[in-house]
Amino acid sequence: MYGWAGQRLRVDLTKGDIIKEPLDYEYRRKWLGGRGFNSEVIYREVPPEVDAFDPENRVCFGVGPISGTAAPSTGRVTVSCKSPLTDGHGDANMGGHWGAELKYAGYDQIVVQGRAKKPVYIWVDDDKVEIRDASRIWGKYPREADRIIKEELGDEDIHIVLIGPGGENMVRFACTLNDVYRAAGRTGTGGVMGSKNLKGIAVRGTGGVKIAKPKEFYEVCNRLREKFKTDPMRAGLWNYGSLCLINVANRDGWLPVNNFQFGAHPNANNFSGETHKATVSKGKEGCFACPICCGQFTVIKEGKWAGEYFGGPEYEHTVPTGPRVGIGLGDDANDVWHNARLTNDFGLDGIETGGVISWAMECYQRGLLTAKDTGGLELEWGNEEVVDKLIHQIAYRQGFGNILAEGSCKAAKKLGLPKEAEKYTITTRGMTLPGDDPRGLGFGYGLSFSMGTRGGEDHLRSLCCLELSGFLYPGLNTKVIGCEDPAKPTTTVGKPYMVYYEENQKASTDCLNVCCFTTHWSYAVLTEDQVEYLNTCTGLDFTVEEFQEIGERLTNLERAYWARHLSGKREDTLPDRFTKEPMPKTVPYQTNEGATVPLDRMLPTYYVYRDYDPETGFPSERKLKQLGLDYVAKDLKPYREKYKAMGRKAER
Amino acid sequence: MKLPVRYYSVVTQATKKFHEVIEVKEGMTVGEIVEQLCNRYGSKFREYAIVRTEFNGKVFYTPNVYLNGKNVHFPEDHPQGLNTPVKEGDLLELGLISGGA
Repeated sequence: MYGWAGQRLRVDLTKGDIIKEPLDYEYRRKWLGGRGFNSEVIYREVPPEVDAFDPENRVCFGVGPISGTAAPSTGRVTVSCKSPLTDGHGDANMGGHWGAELKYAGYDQIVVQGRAKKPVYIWVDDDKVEIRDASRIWGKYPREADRIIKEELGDEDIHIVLIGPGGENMVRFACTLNDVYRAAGRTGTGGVMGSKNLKGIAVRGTGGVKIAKPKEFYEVCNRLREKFKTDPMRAGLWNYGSLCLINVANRDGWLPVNNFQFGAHPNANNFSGETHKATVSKGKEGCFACPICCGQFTVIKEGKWAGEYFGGPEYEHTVPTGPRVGIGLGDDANDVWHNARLTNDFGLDGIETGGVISWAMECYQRGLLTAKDTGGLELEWGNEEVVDKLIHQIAYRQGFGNILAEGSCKAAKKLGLPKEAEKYTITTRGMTLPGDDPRGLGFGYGLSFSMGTRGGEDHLRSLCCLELSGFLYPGLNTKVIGCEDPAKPTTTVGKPYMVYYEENQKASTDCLNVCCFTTHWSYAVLTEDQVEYLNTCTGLDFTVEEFQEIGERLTNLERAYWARHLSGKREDTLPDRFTKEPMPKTVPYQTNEGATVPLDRMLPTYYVYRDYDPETGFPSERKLKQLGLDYVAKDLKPYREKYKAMGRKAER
Repeated sequence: MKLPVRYYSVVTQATKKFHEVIEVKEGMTVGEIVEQLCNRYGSKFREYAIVRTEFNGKVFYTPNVYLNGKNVHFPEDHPQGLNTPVKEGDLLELGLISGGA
């Protein structure tokens, strides 16, 4: 077998069973790997009646057929579960080197189920797998636990997935990290691990990946790596990491300030990539086989946080506990780096942490929350003492933080706040949106935010970069959409098809588990290139159409999972902030003053491309059968009727 | 006339500054000003400010420049694109590369 390892490792923590399951050819051809394998397991094995923190939930770690090879950026991992934050489909994606190590150990996927009686970690040493006691590392930050496990096992070169205190305390948006700092941030996979008493998974792999046509494969890899040398997107990421986007976001009015009440700020340069590099940057790091190497390392040198250090931050890590909560907009950006360090060490999704705090701050601003509700905390914008305290409280589920640890939608219900409070959650399907205001970033992004199959979408579902960097590749928008008009962010022309196309493309890319920065963010690697390295690695004969159909199949499967949880057309929304509140002007030359996202003009056409039932928004039976998902079409029958009945009842 | 210019991202590695006010002739076009700056700051500036991309077997060189907050390559904002003449009160920006974060 070429490419794939050909087996799944299943660990049942209740029974202590360790099972190796072969992955046959039909399965691998249909689902490819990574997110495909994971979503297929979650759909089949975690029915709607299973709560996310129930032992019967799964947490899956998937890699792809070219993971661990010399193709660009093949080190990523998809982590999937039923999400404790949204109660629907959940997955997240992380870089680092753990994914390649898992492949070298001989596995395409790990599925963990059940619950251990006490804290454990799993040790995968090629074909030897053990469940080991983790009581010594329970409570430790990932950086400490990583060091202790490596000492215990006597190997500095192993790679470890870990959770922090946030996951141990089952914060609904706790994340999973590998190599200490590379986070699978979203949807609460760390909380699910914590609910299983699973601290981490350490891997040593001494095998390799068999390549079917090595000469041709390495020619493709070298050709693509050569292109990255002059690629413009790579230049920005190499030098500044994704913080290269701060000034862009500020210029185009998509930087979230005070919970998206504003899209820009005169002092945004305080925490830009350029400023980070000049003040707190201490080198950089790259993921496995990556020519882009966007990872940064931060050491705070001055002020009250002097001496703190961590890997990162990313744009999406910086913004939510930075300008979104009003931090970093004065003279000192060190509070921004400190808050990012905290979410890393606690193992919290930085986006959701900032999202829930900024929601609470806006409620406080509008008198919906008072100091009586917050345990005496004055939730004023830019109050770093309060933000620092809340991040601690959330991680350890203490005080007001215990309520915020539920996520903003569940917190609003728990507090019994008026319906108005829901407006400020800035979520879709219960998960907060990342630091990209679609009133400036682009209407395609706005559409993809509302439709993403894990809620709260960002670049890990529909990377609509055709509307951002497409103008740099003349002819590319014409090839995909049929004209160049969609190259402009704030037009609806061509956007429904663009989102449909990019979602399928991204889903297929996630099955390969290569980094989305290499393809359809940068366009150095196109779909034709992906199919070429896939075929020369595996010896198979995928076409571009089949490759993109895998992504379409996966998107429909995940959409069907939501449908089984009675989430469909009525939930395909955007916060009123984006559709009804015109963007205010806060800096000169701000480009998107007055903008709102015309979602209603794009959604019906998108439904047509997706072949979703216009009444429920569920995938049509016809489309599911066309994609080889007959069993899913059968599953959805009762849910269609139930969803329609709920709609009729609501209208009455 | 005096024209304020802002630099971002990798372009700042060539200019060693984030912004300046330059002297340009009245009626000079955006494209001509970019060329003037390339001559002043050298090959590294040219490499970063005029981005090179490949698609469909062709290579493209696109000056990455905003005029008054809008990308010069979008015709509805700047119908003349790089041939747009600058005037008093304009702002030029170079080096802004957008993408999803």
